[in-house]
Amino acid sequence: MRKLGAENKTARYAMLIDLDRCNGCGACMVACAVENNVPPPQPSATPRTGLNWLRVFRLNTGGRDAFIPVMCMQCGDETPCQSVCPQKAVEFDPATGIVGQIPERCLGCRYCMAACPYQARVFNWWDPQWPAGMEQALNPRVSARQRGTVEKCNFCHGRWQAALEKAAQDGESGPVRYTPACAEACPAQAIRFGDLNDEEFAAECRDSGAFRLLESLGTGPKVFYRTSRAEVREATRGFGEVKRG
Amino acid sequence: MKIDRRDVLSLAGGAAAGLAVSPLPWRLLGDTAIWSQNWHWMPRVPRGAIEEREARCTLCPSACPVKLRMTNGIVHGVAPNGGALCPAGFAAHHLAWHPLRLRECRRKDQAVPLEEALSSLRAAVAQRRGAVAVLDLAPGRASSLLHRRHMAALGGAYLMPPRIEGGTAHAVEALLEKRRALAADLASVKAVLSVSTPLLDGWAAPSSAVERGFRLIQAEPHRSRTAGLADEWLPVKPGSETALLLAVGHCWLKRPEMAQQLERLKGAEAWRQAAEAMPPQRAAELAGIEAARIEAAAADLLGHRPSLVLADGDPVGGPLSREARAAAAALNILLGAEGFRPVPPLPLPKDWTLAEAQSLEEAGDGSIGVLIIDEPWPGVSVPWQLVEKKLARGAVVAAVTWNRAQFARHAEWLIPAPVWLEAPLDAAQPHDAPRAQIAVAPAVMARPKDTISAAEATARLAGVEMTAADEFAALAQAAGSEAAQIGDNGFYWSSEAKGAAPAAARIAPEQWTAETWLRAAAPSAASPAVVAFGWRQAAVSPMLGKLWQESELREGPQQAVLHPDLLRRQGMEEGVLARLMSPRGAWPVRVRAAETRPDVIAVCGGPSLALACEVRPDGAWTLGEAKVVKS
Amino acid sequence: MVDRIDEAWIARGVRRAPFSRFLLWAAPWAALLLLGAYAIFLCLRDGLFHTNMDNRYVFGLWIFLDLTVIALGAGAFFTGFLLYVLRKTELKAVINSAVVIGLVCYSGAVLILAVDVGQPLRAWFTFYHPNVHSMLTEVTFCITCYLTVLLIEYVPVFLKNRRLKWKPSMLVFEYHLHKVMVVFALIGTLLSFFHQGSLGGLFGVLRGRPFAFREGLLIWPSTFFLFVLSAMAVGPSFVALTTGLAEKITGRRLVKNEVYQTLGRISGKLLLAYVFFKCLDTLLWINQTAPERGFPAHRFYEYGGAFGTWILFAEIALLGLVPALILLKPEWRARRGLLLGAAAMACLGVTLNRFVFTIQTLALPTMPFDRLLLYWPSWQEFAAFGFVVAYGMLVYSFSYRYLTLFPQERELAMTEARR
Repeated sequence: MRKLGAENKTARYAMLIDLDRCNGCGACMVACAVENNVPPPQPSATPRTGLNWLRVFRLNTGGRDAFIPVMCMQCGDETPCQSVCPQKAVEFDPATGIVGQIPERCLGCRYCMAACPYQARVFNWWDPQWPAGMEQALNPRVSARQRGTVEKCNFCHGRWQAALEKAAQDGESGPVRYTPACAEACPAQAIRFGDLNDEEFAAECRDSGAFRLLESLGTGPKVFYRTSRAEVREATRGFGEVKRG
Repeated sequence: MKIDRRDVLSLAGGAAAGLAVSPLPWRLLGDTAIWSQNWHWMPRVPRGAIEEREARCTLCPSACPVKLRMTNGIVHGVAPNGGALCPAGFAAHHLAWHPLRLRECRRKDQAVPLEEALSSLRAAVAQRRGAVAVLDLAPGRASSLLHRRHMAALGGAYLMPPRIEGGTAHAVEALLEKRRALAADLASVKAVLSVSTPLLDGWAAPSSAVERGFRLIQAEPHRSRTAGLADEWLPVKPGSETALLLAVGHCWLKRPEMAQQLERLKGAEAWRQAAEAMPPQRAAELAGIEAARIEAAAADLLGHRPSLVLADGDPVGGPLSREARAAAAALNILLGAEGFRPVPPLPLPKDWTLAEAQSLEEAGDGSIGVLIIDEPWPGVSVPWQLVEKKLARGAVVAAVTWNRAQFARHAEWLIPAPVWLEAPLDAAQPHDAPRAQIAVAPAVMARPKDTISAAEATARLAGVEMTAADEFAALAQAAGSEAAQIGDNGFYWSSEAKGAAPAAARIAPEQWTAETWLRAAAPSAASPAVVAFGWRQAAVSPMLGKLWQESELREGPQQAVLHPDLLRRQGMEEGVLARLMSPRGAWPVRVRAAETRPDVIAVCGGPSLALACEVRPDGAWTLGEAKVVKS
Repeated sequence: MVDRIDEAWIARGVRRAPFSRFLLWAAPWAALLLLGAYAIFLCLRDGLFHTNMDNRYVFGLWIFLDLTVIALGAGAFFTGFLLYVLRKTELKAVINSAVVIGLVCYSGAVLILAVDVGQPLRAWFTFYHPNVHSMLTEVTFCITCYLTVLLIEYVPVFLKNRRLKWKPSMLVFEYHLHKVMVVFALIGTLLSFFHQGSLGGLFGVLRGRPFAFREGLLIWPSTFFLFVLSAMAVGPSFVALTTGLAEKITGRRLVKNEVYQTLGRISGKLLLAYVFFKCLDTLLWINQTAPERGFPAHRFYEYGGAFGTWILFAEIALLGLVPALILLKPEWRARRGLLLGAAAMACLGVTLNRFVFTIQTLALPTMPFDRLLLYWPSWQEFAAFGFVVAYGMLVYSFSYRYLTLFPQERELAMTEARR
C-alpha cells in the first residue's frame, strides 16, 4: 500500500466544530456508531459504561441549551495516551496526525483511559453483541473489537483507507481528502473536517474565535471549536482553566 | 528395576523443566493470543464490494433523500443525499433486525401459518360484510390509496388515527371557511409560540430544526429538547395551555386591527368573551408562571411578524385539548397566518373507487366487526381506548405490523409485515405539504419469507389479485398515471393528487360559548401531574439508545424526568429504577433529575405508552391517575 | 493418623494448635477463597462488566488495593535490605515472615492484575513489544522479576522444613542459596525500589490529569520517589504490625521486644523524611505544577465531601506526621500498644495516599462540563479482593504452622517454659 505523504507532504487532519450550529440532535453519535461497527447498548449499559467514540455533552449555560460534541482530539504534542500504553497499542501516525488504536494488541489495562483528559476512550466491558442477524449489516471496512479492549475515534480510519485506495487507483498522490461519518452526518453542518496543512482551513482554525478544549494542558488537540456565545465559551472553559505561561 | 516415588517425581520435574525450554510454551502463548483475537462468537463483518444507491428514508412523512451503502444486497450504511437526516435515519436500516421485530404470524401467543391467518380473516370478513375497517397508522401513502380501494370493494371503512402533527392547521380550517389553511412556513416566519409541540425535535422534516430564523417561545411543563433550544421557555402547568393562549389573545384585543380579523372567526363572540375574561394575571395564576412573561410573548408575536402559534401536541403525549388547538388557531387567524389551500382532484385510474378517508374518532361506536391495523413503521400509535370503543362485540382485530410488542396485547392476529427497504418505498404525505404528493420506489432488499404488507393483505381480503411481486406496480398505479416512467431508483411526485386530509375532529366553534373555552382553561389538579412525551423515531433501532442510555443527550423511552427537589421529596435518587403506575398498565422507568416544573413528572415513552393513554372528552390524551413510585 | 502426619511437618521445639483447630481457622478463609474464585471466574468468562468500574473509573478497588498491598509488602524488600546489606542482624527474627508477606502481597497483586486487564492472555505482549516510555512497562518488568526473586527468597524458608530435610542435597542447595541471598536481597531491593517508584510514576506522568501530574527529576516524576520513600517508611511498620497480630492471634511470643523497637525507629525516621518531602511536593504542586497546567489546585477540593481538603490533612498530618512522632519518641515507642497503633496509622496513611492517587484522580472531572463521579465496587470486586486476602491468610498461616517464620520463637518459648 502506498504510504500517504511519502513522496509529497503529510496531512494533519483536524476538525472545526461550530457550537452555534450544533443543536444536539445526536445524528453524529449514531452515524459514528453505525460506521465504526460499535455495538448498540447492552441492556445494563449506562452513560458511564457506554461505548461512544463520539459523545455530545449538554453544556450548562444557564440559558438556551448548548451542546458540545467530544471525540478523540488526536493530540499532536506529547500525546497523553500514546506514551503510557505498555505495549504500543496506541500509535501516532505522523503521516496523518491521527492517533490510532490497535485493538488486536490492546491488553485492556485502561491506563490510556486514565491518561486521556477528554474521556474520549471507551472500554469494551461486554462482548460486542448485535441483535440476531444485524451483524449482516456491519460495515465491511471496519472490524469488530473484542471485549476487554479499549477503543476510540480514529477519524474514520476505514474511510481514510478507502480514500487512499481510490487515490492510488486514480494515480493521485499527496494527502487524500475524505469525510468522517460525523461530519457527513451533521444536519447543521456544524462539524467540518479538514487538513491543517491546508492553509485556508488552518487559518480558520487559528481564527481568534476558535479554541480547543483544555488547551492549557499542552496536549495539542486537533479538534477546534468555535462559538460566538460568551456563555458557551465560558462553559467550555470552566474548571478554572487559565492561560498557560 | 524398581520405580519408586522419587523417580516419578524426578521424571515429572525433569519433564516440566524440559518443556519450559521447548518451543511448546511459546507456541501456546502465541496461539492463545491469536485465539484472543479470533473468538468464534465475534461477529464477522461481511466481505464484498460496497455499492451505493439512492433512495428515500420513508420511515416518516419527511421522506428524506438518502444514499444507501450496500454489500451483497444488504444495506449497511445510510447517509444523507443532499439534505439533512435525523439521528434515526442513520440507523434506519437496522429496523429489519430490530429485536422487537415480529418474525412469525401469530394468533395471540401461538404461531400459525400466514395462509391460515389470512383465510380466517377472509372468513371473518365474509361473515361481517360491511363491518370491516382498516386503521392506517401511516396515512397519505400510495398504500393508503390501495387500502381505500380495497375497502370500497368490501364496503368497509378506511380510518386514520387522530392527527397530532398538523392539529393546529386543522383547527384553523375548522374555525374558518373551507379551503383556508394555516401557513406554517417555518422558513419565513420571524416568531413562533409553540405549545408542547416538538418543533425542533422530530416535528416535520429534520432540516426545519436546523436553520432557525425565528424567535421561539416554547410553552411546555418540562424542558423538552425544543424548550431547551427555544429563546424562551414558559414552564406552564399541564392543562393550562388554553388559558395561556386566551391570555395572549386578551393582550391583543385592544388593538384596532384585530377586530376586523376577528370577524372572520366562527364563534367569534364566544372567543372574545372568553379572552376578555382571561387577563394575563389570571392565566399566570392558572399556568403557574409570571404574567409579564405572557405579555412579553404576546408582544413578541406581534412585533416579529410573520409569526405563528402552534399547539399540535406531542407524538406520544398526544394532541392538546380541542379548545387549546382552537385557541391557537384563533391566534393564527388574528395574526393573519393563513392562506388559500387548493384541493386538486386525484388523477387515479378511472375504474378505481375509493372508500372515504375518515378519522378514527368519526367512526361509529361498536361499528367495526373486523379491524385490520396497518403499522408499517415505528413511532405512531393511538390510545387503545379509542379503538376499543369502535369495535363491535366479538370483533376480530388483526395487526399487520413490524413489531411484536405493541399491539400484541390487544390484537388477536399478529401478521408480520416487511419493513423499510424490504417493501416498496412508499412515502407518506407530510401534513404541511403545500400540495398532495405521493412517492413510491421499488424495494431495495429481499423481503423475508412469510411477511405480507398490509396493502397486500387488504387486497387478499377484498379478493383483488395482488402478489408481492406486483404490489409495486399497483402502488405506482395509485401514485399516478405517469408512474410507469418511474425508474429503479426514481421517485415521482404527482402534482395534483388529493391528500388524505381528515376532517378536523369535532372542533365546532360555532356551537361553543365563552363557558366552553373557560372550562377548558383550568390546569390539571393532580400534583405531581404525570405527563407523557416521546420521540417518534426512538424505536427505529436499538442503536439510538446511544443518545439516552449510553449518554445523557436526551430523554429516551422508559425514563422519567423530575425536578431535583421533587426527586428528593419522593425519596428517589438520580438513575434509580421506579415504576410508572397508570390505570392501564405499569412500566419500569429510570428517573432522571432535570429541569421541569417541580409539580410535574414527565415520562418519556414509546408508542406503547401512547397505546395506554386515555382520551379525555376534549380529545387530549392523559395517563389518567398515574403515579411514579419507588420500586 | 492425620495428626501424626501434621505433627511430622511442624518444626521441633515449637507448639502449634491442634490440627482440628487449625482447620477451623482455615475454613472461613477457604470459603472466602472459593467465593473469590467464583467472582474471578465470572469476570474472566463474561468480561469486566461484572465490576462497577466504568469508562471514568477505569481503575477501581483492585488497582487501589494493588498499590496498597505492594506498598505494604515493601516491608519484605526493605527488611531484606536492612538485614543483608545494612547488617541489622536483629531483623533476622522477622525476615522470613517479611518474605512470606512480600510474596503474598506481590503474587496477590499479580493475580488480581490478571483479572483486572481485559485481555489477560495478551499480558506477555508487554515483553514482546514493550513501550519503553510507559511507566506500566516498567511496572510489568519489575513486578515479574521481583516476584521471581521473592520466590527464590522463599525457597530457603521452605526448604528448612524438617520433613524436607530428608534429602541432603536440599540442605546443600539451601546453604548455597543462603550465601548468595545478599545478591538477591540487593536485586530485590533494586527491583522493588523501581517497582514502587514506577507505580508512583504511573500517576505522576499523567499530564492530562493535573490532579496527579507532578514535576519530574530526571525521567521520573516526584511521585516516583515519594512512593519509594513512603513504602520504605511503612514497610517496617507493616512487618511490626503483622508480627504483633500474629502474636495476638497465636497467643505466643514470637520475637523479642528490641525487634519491634528497631522496626519502629527505622519506620519513624523514614516516615518523618517522607512527610517532609511530601509537604515540599504538595506545596510545589499547589503553587506551580497544577496552576501551570491551567488548574488552580483549590478547585480540586471544592467538591467537599469525600474528596475535601480533609483528605490532604489526614494523609499528611494525621496519618503521617503523628505516627512518625510517636515512633520517634523512645518512651512512646516502648509501649507496645502505642507502637502498633502508630504503625497502623502509618499503614493507613499510605493506603490513603494510594487511594488519593488512584480513586480521587479519576473521580475529579477534567473537562469543564463534566462532573465529579462516585463509585462503589460490585460484590465481584470485593469477592475477588477477598480471594487475595484469603489466599494471603492461608499461605501465611500454613507457612507459620509448618515453616520457621520467627526463628526466635523457639528460644522465647524455652525461656518461658523455664520460667
